[in-house]
Amino acid sequence: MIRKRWKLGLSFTNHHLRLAVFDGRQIVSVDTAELPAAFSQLRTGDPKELGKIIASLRSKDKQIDGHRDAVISLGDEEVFTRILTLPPLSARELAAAAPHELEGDLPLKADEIYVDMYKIGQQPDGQHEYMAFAVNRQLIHWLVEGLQLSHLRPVAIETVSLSLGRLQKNNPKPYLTVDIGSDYASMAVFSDGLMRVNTSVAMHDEGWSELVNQDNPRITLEELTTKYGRLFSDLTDNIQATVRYFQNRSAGQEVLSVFLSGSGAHVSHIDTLLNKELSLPVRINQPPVPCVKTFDTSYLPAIGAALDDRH
Amino acid sequence: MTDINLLPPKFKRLEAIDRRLPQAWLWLGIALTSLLMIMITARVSRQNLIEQSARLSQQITDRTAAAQFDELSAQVKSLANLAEEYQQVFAKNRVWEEMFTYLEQTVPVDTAIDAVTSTADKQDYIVTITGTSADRRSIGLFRESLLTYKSQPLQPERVSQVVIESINADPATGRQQFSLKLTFDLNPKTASQ
Repeated sequence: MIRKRWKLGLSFTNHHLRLAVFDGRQIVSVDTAELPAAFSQLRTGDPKELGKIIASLRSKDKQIDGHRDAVISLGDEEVFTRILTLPPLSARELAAAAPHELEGDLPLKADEIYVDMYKIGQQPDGQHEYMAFAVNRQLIHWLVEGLQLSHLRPVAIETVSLSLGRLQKNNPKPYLTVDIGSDYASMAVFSDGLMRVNTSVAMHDEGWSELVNQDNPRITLEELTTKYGRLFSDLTDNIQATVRYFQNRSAGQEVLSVFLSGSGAHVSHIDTLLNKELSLPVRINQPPVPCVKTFDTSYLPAIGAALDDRH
Repeated sequence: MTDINLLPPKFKRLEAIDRRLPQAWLWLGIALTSLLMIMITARVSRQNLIEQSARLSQQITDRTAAAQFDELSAQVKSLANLAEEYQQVFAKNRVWEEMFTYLEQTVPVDTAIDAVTSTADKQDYIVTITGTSADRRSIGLFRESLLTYKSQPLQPERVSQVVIESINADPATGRQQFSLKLTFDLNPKTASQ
């Protein structure tokens, strides 16, 4: 029998690095470290400093020693996602064509991005549909260097939405994940084990950022509605547009549940508000394995990354 | 869940190799198990061969088998003797036949042969001819003709000796009764030694 490896999940936001450790049976550790202001635009930071921050996080828990495999979950706002429609191509041809297809949508050239994709469907005319992901190479190099300096081995880099979708991978019905942060919210629809749609929306509001960054954000439903009505109106509009896009393209399939995560998910009454606006059951996302430490919803991307089971 | 990986390609290759490592152990395990199975099978086969060999060896050394072999050997010898005897009888018949022809051709007109008998031992083959003749001179001529007789079946033997054993006059008929003894040397080499 092959013993399951320990896996370290690391999620990056503009302000925090979060760590979750999976030992093959349960989440044995969660922790966080604040990122310096210089890292607010991730790629501008010094990799050595990132290495030190990760190393200090690891050193706090002795049982992590010797476990090096790390999966990184990058905020959806850092990764460009698009559905590509292409004629049937070999894997090699796809790898060559996709960056050029995506560079028109990005302020970067084809040789400045890393691209990965998977097939999500086929059109009646034989064209294939792919969910494609593109990310700035500079950012990836910075992260990889930082991980290596802290003696970690990067196994995979994925998006927060994919990490969050993994938490509900045994859910047989289409579902929506919504990750609400202090600056951005991202949403994704999953069905048949695949992420079908992925969008992000800015949550630019100083008051909102302050509220979310509180340890125990308390607010009444009325305050939430009146104070952040416009913000939530934008958010629910985007969520409904995302759900409609999915349902129009997937012959009769309907989104049946919503799973919240992110530091914004623990704002009181937010689930009630979204439930009212979307007319769908809204719950806080939960990992499918036990966790020996308490954690808040901002750790869910890191936990989802640690549960990566690709090997 | 379909996984994506935005790591640089060289890291993905390393990750893929690493992913194959546990599989490599699995294949190695299967190979070792197969090897072990082959070794066990070979060992069992070898043991079976040894047991079969031991059984055969026991059969070979079995007294019954030896007795059967002796019996068969005796039968073969007996058949060989029969064949030899047959050869001798056959040869003897030919000797007689040829000799009668020769006697008929060489016997003088006034001489009659009454009987021809033969005896043999390991060394000699002796033919005794008895008969009557008008006179002794004819008996002498008959003896001389017999001296040149060469028996084809007894080649290379030839008459080594022709002895007139007796000549007696019969007062009633006035004819001479005679007895001639022809001796064939059956073992000329031994004789010459």
